[in-house]
Amino acid sequence: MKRRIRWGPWGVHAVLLLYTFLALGPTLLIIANSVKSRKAVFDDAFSLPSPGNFDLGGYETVLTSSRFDIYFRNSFVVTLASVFLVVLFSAMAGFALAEYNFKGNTLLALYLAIGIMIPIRLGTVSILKLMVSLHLVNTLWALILVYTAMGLPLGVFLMSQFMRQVPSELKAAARVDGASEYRVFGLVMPLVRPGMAAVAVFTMLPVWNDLWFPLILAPSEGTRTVTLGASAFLGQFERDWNALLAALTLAMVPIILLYIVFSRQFLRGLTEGAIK
Amino acid sequence: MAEMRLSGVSKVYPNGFRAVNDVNLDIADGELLVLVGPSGCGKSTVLRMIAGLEDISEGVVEIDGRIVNSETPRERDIAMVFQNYALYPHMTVQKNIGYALRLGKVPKAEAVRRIEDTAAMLELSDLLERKPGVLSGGQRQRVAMGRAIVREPAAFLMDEPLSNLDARLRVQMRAEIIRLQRNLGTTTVYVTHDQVEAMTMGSRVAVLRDGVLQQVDRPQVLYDHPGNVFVAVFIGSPSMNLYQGRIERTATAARAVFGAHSFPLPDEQTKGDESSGIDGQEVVVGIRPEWLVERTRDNADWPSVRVRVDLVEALGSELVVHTTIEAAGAEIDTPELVEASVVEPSEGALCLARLSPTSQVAVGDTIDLAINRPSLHLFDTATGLALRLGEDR
Repeated sequence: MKRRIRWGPWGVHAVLLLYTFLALGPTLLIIANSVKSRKAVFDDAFSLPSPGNFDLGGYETVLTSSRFDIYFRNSFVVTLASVFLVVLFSAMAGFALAEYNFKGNTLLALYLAIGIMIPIRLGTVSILKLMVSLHLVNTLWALILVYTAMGLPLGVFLMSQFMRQVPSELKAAARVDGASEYRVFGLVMPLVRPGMAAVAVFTMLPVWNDLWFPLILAPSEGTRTVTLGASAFLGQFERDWNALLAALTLAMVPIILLYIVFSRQFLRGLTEGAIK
Repeated sequence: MAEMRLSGVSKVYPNGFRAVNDVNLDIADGELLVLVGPSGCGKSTVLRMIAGLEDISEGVVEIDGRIVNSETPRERDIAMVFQNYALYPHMTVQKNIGYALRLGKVPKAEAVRRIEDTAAMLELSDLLERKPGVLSGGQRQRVAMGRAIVREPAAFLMDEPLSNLDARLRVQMRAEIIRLQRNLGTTTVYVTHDQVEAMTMGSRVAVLRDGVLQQVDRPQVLYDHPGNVFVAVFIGSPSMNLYQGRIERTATAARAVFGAHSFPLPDEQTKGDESSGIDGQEVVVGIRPEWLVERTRDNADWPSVRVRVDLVEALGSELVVHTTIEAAGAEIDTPELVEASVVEPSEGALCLARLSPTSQVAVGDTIDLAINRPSLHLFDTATGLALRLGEDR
């Protein structure tokens, strides 16, 4: 019998490896260069760090010359608060859209979905004016509110899909058992955990990485986020590459940790049997 | 404990579709009423309207004399068992059973006692700490029952609770539910599409079709005296054989004629007025498969039909024999009317018979089957209603 070589799996792996390389390449480059001396960065950016060019100067600059502790705290507060609000509100809205038949249900869902298509940055000027009149400029609340608004459209869309997948008998059973609508909502929450994790991940990444709104709404020293803090190393005349790369590397760590936490929920939710 | 009354209950959807149409039902305290009908007949909708999960478009639902139309499910004090059990997957069996008690603010000690009693009654005591995901189908079913029983509600509503179980377990749980219901004496409405469940479980059975109540009565009455041709076909397995026929009446006697066959009507069927069949009236003749027996010396004088054997299904306890009879078959096509089937009369129509396993019939034989009943079921072809033929009921 002739053995046929199966190319299928290899082809798939080749494509996936190429994609992984493309996606991780820049990140690895940042990490590698953050621990190289300034000269080595400019000489050969693609070389790996070696004992000859190893230099933690960038990290030193970051940790000593600027208040990255504050920036990190700000980023954390803004990201976690936004994620919490987005997940909570989109779960509530998704529950209502999926569960209740009221006039204008579809219209409301479409209206909420418009936000997915229109970038919130188009409204930056009005948002700034609004924040000024609310005296929220240079506060973290300005960022939290904007990011919550930014994350809600996709969040609501996703959550209403997940809510629809919860068997209606389960909700009916709870109601017959004497549960109020808030109770029914509370009962459903653990069952849409994968959905909440997905919304959290989708909300978290752009919020953590955003430079635009921190720059416009909260640029003061006390409210700077990590991304904005790192951009301070990009001067008009001089660029401290070491410090910039070190700051970016440090900024990656928490978001990767958060991602791992949420994606675990994601998988756990997917494997848990809900109903026969 | 409660009695329930449905008066003129209808469900009309926004597109005008009437899923349930003018249902009137009185359910006595402690009764087990079975709502039965083919899928899509609106039986689950009726149940959901009683439970308060579905708006009542028209009519009134009363529980213990109290109109509950505008009450929420939790105000109605009813418990429901669902087809797919609807157990809360993230809660243990104990929490599943105790959920309603927790919501109802039952004192903890009493709640624990009631959960334990219920679990013992359903043989779930060893499983209290498990989650539904690891339970077998039968165990899940019992947890779902437990969740209803522990509340000691005014009434149980059960929506096809056994249809996800395998055949053996279904028979076992069926007996279990009957036993529990008798012991607890709780008014129960039980929905099923399975006429065997309906016949075995119900103290009374309500047959529903296309949202319209066809007949409500004790199972044996439904079997013996179906009110219309739909009930006749739906109750009984295999179902009743139906043929196009007509009544021929003389001064002294009456006969039902279908195809090549003629069946003398007994005396009490001959003295009827117009409603009991006038001369020449088109009727549907119904013969239950279990009425047909092989012709022997003992029953030589019984009326008989001549059939050709097409197929013999040996079930061990009996033979289900598929035969062809020289007559035009009848089928139920529209809600009111009984239509002639498309089978060419020359080819004959299907006739099912349940014969004794000792029978020697073989495929291809032409045999005479005697009818061991003095009367046949006769239905008006135009209305589908049974001809009472002067019987007193």
